[in-house]
Order: sequence, then C-alpha cells, then structure tokens
Amino acid sequence: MNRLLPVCALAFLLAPLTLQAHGPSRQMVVKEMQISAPAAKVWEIIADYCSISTWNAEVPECQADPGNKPDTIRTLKLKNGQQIKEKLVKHEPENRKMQFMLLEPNEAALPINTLGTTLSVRDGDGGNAVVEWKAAFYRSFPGPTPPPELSDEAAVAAVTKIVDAGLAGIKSLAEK
Amino acid sequence: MKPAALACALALLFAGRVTAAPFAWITNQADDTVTVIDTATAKAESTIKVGHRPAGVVASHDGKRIYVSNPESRDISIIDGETRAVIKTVPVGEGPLGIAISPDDSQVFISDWYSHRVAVLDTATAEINDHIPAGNSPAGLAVTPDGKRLVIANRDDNSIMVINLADHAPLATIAVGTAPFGVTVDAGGRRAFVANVQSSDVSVIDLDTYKVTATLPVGSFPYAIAHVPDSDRLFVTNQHDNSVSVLDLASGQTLRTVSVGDYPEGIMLHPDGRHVYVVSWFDGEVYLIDTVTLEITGRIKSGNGSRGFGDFIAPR
Repeated sequence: MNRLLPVCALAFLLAPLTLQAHGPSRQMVVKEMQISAPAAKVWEIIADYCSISTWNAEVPECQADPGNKPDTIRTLKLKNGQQIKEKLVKHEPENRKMQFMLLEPNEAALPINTLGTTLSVRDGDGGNAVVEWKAAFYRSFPGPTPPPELSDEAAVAAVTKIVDAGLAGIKSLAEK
Repeated sequence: MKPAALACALALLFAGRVTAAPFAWITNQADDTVTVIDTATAKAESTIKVGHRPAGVVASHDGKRIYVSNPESRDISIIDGETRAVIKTVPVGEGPLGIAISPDDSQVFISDWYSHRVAVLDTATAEINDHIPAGNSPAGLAVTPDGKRLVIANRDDNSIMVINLADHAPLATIAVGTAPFGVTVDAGGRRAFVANVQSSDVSVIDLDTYKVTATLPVGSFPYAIAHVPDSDRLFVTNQHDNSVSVLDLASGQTLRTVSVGDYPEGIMLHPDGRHVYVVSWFDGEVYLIDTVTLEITGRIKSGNGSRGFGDFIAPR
C-alpha cells in the first residue's frame, strides 16, 4: 500500500503535463502593411514557404523541402537560437495567400501553442499593395493563472515581434 | 393617457420587443462585450459590457434572460433581454465556458474547464445551487428537448457523458474523436452530434443505445454544430479552414463546404428554420447561410473576437 504512494504522487505531478488543455481564450494578432509596390511583386518575395529567413529578421534560418506543397514542414531558427516547426496548410498563388500552423510548441522559443497564421497580399490604392498577417494562437501555459512571462500578454508580445519584423522586412525588400 | 393605459402600452411595447423577431446575442471575447443583432433587420443594434473574455452564451427560450460565460473573470453575466442591462454577475469556479439551458428555462448549466464539473444555476434565484461532476475539461453542453438529460463534451478525455438530470448520475460515458468541443442534440432528442477538434470529424451518438453510429470527416479543427431537422443536415464550423461543412446525415456525405470568415466558431439554426448563423472569430462577423440554397445571404459586423458558443438566438 505504502509503495503505491510515490507512484500516485508521480502520476499526479505528471497529469497536468500530459493534458492537451490550454486556456479558453484564443489570442489574435492582425496587422496590415501598406507597400509602395505592385501586389504581384510583393507576393513574389514571400511566395516561397521558406523565404521567411530572407525577409524576417526575427527568423534568421529556415529549412524545408522545396515546392510549397501543403503539409510541407519548415524548421525555423529564431533569433533567440530556439527552433520551431511549422506546417504549410494552404498555398494559393492565385489568391496570393498562404496558411501555416505551428506543429510542435517550444516554450523556450515562444510562449505559445496552436499558432495558425494566414499571410496574404492584396491590391491597395494606386497600384500599391497591402500585406496582411493574421495570427491566432493560445498561450502555452495551460492553467488559469500563468506567471507574467507566460501570460496572454507575453504570448501576444512574442508573436507581435515576429509579425512586425516580417512586415517591415517585406516592405523594405519590395520598395527597394 | 391614464396611468393604467400607459402601463399597459409600456408592457405591450416591451413584450413586443422580446417577442418580436428573434435577437442574436454574440459574445465578443476580445472586447468583453455582447453584440445584440435584430435578426429581422439583420443589423447590430447595441453592445453590452460583460465580464472578461466572454465565450459561451445561452438565451432563455422566451428571450427574457441571456447568460454569458466569462472564463477569465470566472463568472457569468446575466442580461435582461428587455432592458439589455447586466442584472447580475455570478462567480462560477475556475473557468466557466460551455453553457446550456433547460427547456423550461428553470436551470442553466455551465461547464467549468478547470474544475472538471458543471455548475447548475437556478434561474429563479440566479444562484448556483448544485454541481455535476464531469470528465477532464468539459466544454460544450446540450440538454435533451425533454429536459431529462444533459450531454457534456469532455475535451481532454475524448468522451461525452450523458447525465440523468433527475439525480445527476451519469447514464453513460462514450468514447468519441479527439478533443470533442461543441455538442448538439437533435430536436427529437434521439441523437447527439459532437465536433472533435483534433481529429477533424463529427461523432454521431445514438441517445437510446449510447453508441457512436457514425464518424463523419469534416474540415480542419471543427468547433460547433447546428442541426437542421427539415433536411436532417448538420452545419459544422471548421476553424482552420474558414468554412462550414454541410453534412447529409442520411448518406453521411458532405454536400458542400461553404466559405465563411476566418475562424468560424459558434453556429446556430435560426428559429425560422431557414438560416444558420455562423460567428467568425477572427473577422468579428456573423454570416448567414440559407439552409436550402446553401448560399451566404448576409453578413453582420459584431465585435472583436466573436465566439457565440451556445444557443445565442431567442426567442425560439
């Protein structure tokens, strides 16, 4: 009987880690960038799924099989040295739009979970383009009371940093 | 005008407002508000401040009360359907999320994501007077039309539970797909339908035998389900595909996939039986789909992070 106690204690400790649960509130970051270049040119810069390392200073390295086929997995190395993996969900050159999602959360890289992103380019005014970045995600912390570094605000800040760097990078390349 | 006549006129006026064309009450999670949509004019009429990060919502069948779950302020807001004011805020556990109401409007059930149980609110006193044990992370809830059973989707147990509301004892626990979330019971109370977020399918459960009779593939990350009795079809929101799957239950086939706004979540059949209301979280917009032509017939702006998780239209 007593020998069971440590096992029970261990099971209790492990239980929260094995749960898939996340907080009930999904977060979003949505940003647009006006770019003084035609939409076709802007799309060309970002169309390749693994081009991200050429236009996002927060993502210095990307590895993936070529081809932009759905289910292609890319491994991204972030500025903090940590890696994340993302899967291409949709790639629609005809709509200048792609959708991808985070595969394996890595809390050391980003305090987030279940990140889904849609990146698109549309025609703006006067032959210019508008790039839109839509990200939806949960904080990684599963319980109701996260520490500040794992809060919703921290998760939003981490994603915002990548989005801002990406949009600025696309603009600077496209307006060259 | 004599006072009695005035009172009578006022009573008629208010009665008219509640029993007029139904209203849709849409929770806006990022705004901490509820948007009220007049479904006759298809226009958003007003916005009501509620608790923090509202998600779940259920309107009483007579439209007089609206109950909103606020997971992050850990309470529910009770709205008066006539005055559109929050009349009471009731603390509920650690993470109130799913919410459903009994057919006679006497009891409201609220799933508590973190405490793994369902709180029972007596609507006469507007107080929690009981709890029903659930599985891990209960999400969607549905009450059978006869008021006798409660169906709970236990998201982290990959199961649904059926509770006898006479004594709160479990009648059955049924294994379904991965991460079941929204659950709906048909008008006859014979079948339950649950959206399995991570296995991207819908389980059909026979409520007489408590067996899964079909598992139907839908889009990516399905969230919630509306059942249309006339055609025996399911309308299922696919969060990651920005679409609604229309399933024919007789054949088990997908008839059409209707594109809507990004991250569609809450969905409900309008009492007219002809329109399904779909709430797009990312775009903060409500889409109307004609249940016969399967075309989009309207779009109504709501608020930021709209969810509408529950039966949000009343009277019905």
